[in-house]
Amino acid sequence: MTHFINEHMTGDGIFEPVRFSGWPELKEAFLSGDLQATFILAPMAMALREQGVPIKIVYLGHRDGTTMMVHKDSDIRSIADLRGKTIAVPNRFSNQQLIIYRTLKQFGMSIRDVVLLEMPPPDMPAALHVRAVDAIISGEPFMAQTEMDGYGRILFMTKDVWPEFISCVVAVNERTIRDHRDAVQRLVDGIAQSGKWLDQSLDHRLQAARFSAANYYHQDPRLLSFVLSKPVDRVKYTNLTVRRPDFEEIEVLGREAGILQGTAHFEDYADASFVREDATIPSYAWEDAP
Amino acid sequence: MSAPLRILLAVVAWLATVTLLHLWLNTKTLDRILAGPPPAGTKFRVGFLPVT
Repeated sequence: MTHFINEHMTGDGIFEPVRFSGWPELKEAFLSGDLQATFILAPMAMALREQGVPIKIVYLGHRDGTTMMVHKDSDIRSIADLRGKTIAVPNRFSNQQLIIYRTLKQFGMSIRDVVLLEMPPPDMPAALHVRAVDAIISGEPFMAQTEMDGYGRILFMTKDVWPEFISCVVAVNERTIRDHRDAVQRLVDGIAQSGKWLDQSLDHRLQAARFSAANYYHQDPRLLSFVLSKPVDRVKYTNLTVRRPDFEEIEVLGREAGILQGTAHFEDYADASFVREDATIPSYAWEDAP
Repeated sequence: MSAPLRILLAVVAWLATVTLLHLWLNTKTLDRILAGPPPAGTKFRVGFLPVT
């Protein structure tokens, strides 16, 4: 999305988007040096840093945009009903796993009260349809697909239980920062500009849904329009600054949940120097949208 | 200093110079390889999953 918008807004086409279906494959491609930058799960980037990988988070991909779905005929009506159920998560090192940990804790439960199953997000809708799992949680649009196709029901959206939720971040290798700092800056600027454009109006979002469905996601444009508009704050593309308190919260949760060791901290895995002052703008007043 | 010793020292100095130059050039090449392709005129590869 960023790539297309950038090319059309600024004529800046130096970035080549490389699509993956699962997080492990993307991680390996990044580690091998095949990717100069990547969108990656926030806790995964932090865990890699703990393991000695010279990775730096330079920007966020989006905020919110994750939903937990259950089958429409399921007896799961609240978080408490998840006890003993099987939930598909995108990866062990994902904030989706941490939001389950955080939410269960609020309901007096623990992660041991559910069964978590790692699954590539594109496989989740089918797994829910045949009821191979009781619930699925991932970034959109795969969750909305189950809703649109009539067999999924929303249990919660992240915006309602963990506002300003971070799922994906933009990360680069420290070597890339050293050798191609200008390119990293252009990438961050491009994502920031794209985010502002997307959050300026519903019309922009619907335009983006059409062209990104055809050019990048290879999905039904109606699905992406659905995700970007129902409701309009389902996913947000502004306020993507790398903020210390957000990541310190993830650090604490990650340690408690046993996926982070606590040996890497904000200054180790984050570099906020690419975020310009005007990158953070107030979000569009979505309640006024048609 | 005898002539054979001077020749030996010259050979050792030449070998040391060539070895150091070779190591330096290799390091530069390795750095360039590890740095990946330069962005000018080429593409900067960015990985993503089709999620939000």
